[in-house]
Amino acid sequence: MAPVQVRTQEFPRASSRALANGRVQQALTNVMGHFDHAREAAIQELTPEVWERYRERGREIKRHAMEYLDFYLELLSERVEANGGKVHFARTAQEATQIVLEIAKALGVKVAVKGKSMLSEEMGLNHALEEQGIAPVETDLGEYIIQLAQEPPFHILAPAMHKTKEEVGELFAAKLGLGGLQQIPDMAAAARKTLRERFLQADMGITGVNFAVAETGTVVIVTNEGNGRMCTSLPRVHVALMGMEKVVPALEDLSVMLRLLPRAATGQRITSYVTLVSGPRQPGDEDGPEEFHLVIVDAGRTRLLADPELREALYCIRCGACLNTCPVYRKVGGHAYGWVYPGPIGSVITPVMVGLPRARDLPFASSLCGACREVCPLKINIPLMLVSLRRRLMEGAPGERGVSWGQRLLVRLWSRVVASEGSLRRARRLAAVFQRPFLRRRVVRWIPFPPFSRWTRNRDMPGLARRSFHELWDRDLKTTGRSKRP
Amino acid sequence: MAGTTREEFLKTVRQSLGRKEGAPEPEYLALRLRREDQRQKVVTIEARVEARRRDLLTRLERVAGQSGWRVYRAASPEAAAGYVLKLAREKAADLVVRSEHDVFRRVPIDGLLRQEGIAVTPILAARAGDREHLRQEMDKAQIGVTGVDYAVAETGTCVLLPRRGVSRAVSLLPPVHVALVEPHQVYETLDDLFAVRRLAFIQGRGDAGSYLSLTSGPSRTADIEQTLVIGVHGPVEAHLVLLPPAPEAASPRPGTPSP
Ligand code: SF4
Repeated sequence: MAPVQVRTQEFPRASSRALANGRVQQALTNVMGHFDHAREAAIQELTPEVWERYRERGREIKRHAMEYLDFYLELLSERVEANGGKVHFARTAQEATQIVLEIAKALGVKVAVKGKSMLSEEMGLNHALEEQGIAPVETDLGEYIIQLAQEPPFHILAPAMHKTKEEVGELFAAKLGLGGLQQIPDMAAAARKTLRERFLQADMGITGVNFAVAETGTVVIVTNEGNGRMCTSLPRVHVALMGMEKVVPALEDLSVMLRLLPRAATGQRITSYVTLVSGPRQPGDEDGPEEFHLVIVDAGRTRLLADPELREALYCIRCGACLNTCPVYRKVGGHAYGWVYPGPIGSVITPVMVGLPRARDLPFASSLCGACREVCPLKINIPLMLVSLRRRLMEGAPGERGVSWGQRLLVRLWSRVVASEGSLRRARRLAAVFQRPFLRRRVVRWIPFPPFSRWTRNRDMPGLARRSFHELWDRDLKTTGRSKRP
Repeated sequence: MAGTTREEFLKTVRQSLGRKEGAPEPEYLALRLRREDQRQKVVTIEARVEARRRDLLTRLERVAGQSGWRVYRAASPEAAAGYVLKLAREKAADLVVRSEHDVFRRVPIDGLLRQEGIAVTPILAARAGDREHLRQEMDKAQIGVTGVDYAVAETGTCVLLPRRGVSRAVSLLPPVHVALVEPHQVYETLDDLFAVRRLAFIQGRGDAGSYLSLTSGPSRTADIEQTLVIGVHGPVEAHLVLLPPAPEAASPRPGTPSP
């Protein structure tokens, strides 16, 4: 796969394409509801009150950990080293890639099995490994599928959710020479067999990190397939990649985090496998890697940390709930967002990581309905952060502005008009006349000249009612409390 | 070596936090509890768990069943061994691997299986001296049998602390995993588990053990069309065999407080 490309500029076109793509729409319709239901059921089982308590606690843990991030990162690195592991720090994704390549080259690694890691997508690690003649093998089934298809993940949790089983069957036939697979269990069994060989061959296991416990120097890897456990146990070296925000202070903080993540993600009480790694194999251990490396990566995260309005984005545990519930993601899917993290949280993180001017459409890819915040296990206030980014686009230097002069003019006008009752009434009367030529079944679909054309191109506006609230109020409402004719 | 030094990295983090100096150790309760307090905490947990033992076993059985474990409540150690034998016959197994947990002194599966011509390999690589060979055995074996170090009723979880005699792979590579759980190993919640492990960490003078694995059912995936498939990389079947209490005082748990 090519190194991760930033295609955030293409959001308007890419999202239109996704909307027009029947297969993608079908996949989204089939799948998205599942996630939502499963999460809801898990919360009901626990009771919403208890869920709320866990959320508060989880949020508090993250808030505290971010506030003292320097302290906890130092503690974490000391403890990992005390356990016999080696800790590396990378300020950029490129640095992180270099570190992994050096480790691999020093050991003469030929095959590296990989657990799911969104950070490695940020790094474009697979591409870099391939260039050095090292074969990276994704082992999470979904990641494996999209690696074969040479595509980026569609969803942070279910990277291949946009693929039908027929497409997967074709892919296995074309890339693995395994023809005739029609049923999903057979495909999973084929992947088990192929990947088992790779696990036993591999010299290096690369995984992400879901949580890192500073106190004990432990990284925690959460999977359902068991591939994480294979990657951390079978090869002779294990490299764990973590974004620096993954740290939690104490071992006992894990219990609440492990309750939040699986429920929000898939509605499970816990995933089938939770693996705690605190260093390489110790004397007497039967197996496990001889070397353990932890790579702690910044890659733009300090920018979020330093930003009081956006720091909360670092609380994210990548559960995917905000994607699953977002009316925009549910229609346009993951690829349209153009970088590693799609959906509401992606629309916050991506502009900071790749630069706001390049991702100027993302903060607007939201109706600000608030559903993401509602479902987020950490109660991250995504809508507020999107508004903050929009404001920056509005106020930014001309080159960084995300809006045209026409839109700016429109917004200025709007804020003038609604500021006084008189002007609002006058404007309404004017608009009621003005809208007439554009009304189609009481909806304004498109006004084909600036400054309205761009704004109305993707938006339908209900036409103004025949009588405004003001008029109704003046006639009856004020005195009778009800209106005669709605 | 590529990368940034720790000092440089932490400096950037500090700057982003608007701080010049490193923070003093924050007031954080979960970190502040010292040895004696943590011990007290665990003593309280043990007492609660002891008082609720019966309910906890029922809860473990129920929750584990819901998470995909096949749960068998053995009336006796012999019944448990019989269960393993029956399973081996069903799978037409010719090779069973097992760990070196204490529980096998109560549940002597080796003899029983060997009588039927089924090979049993206890994984103790240090003795055999050939890890590669053992790994192949584990990859070939149809069934892996282990004890556990703890179980958690809240989540239907078996917890293993790999160490000498306890390979990580026995519960991972074979298509069938059988976990033998003794009643005294069952805790109520994840909080209990991590409190106990933290005490062990403190008492072990900062030794967390290299690995701790929590297993809550068979391997699963829903990566193709969100259709659940059981058994993708790890075991296709996970069996949890719940033993009756041992007649004499149970062997101490790894995390049991010592004075
Ligand atoms: S922002 Fe919240 S809901 Fe979205 S992925 Fe992160 S933790 Fe989950």
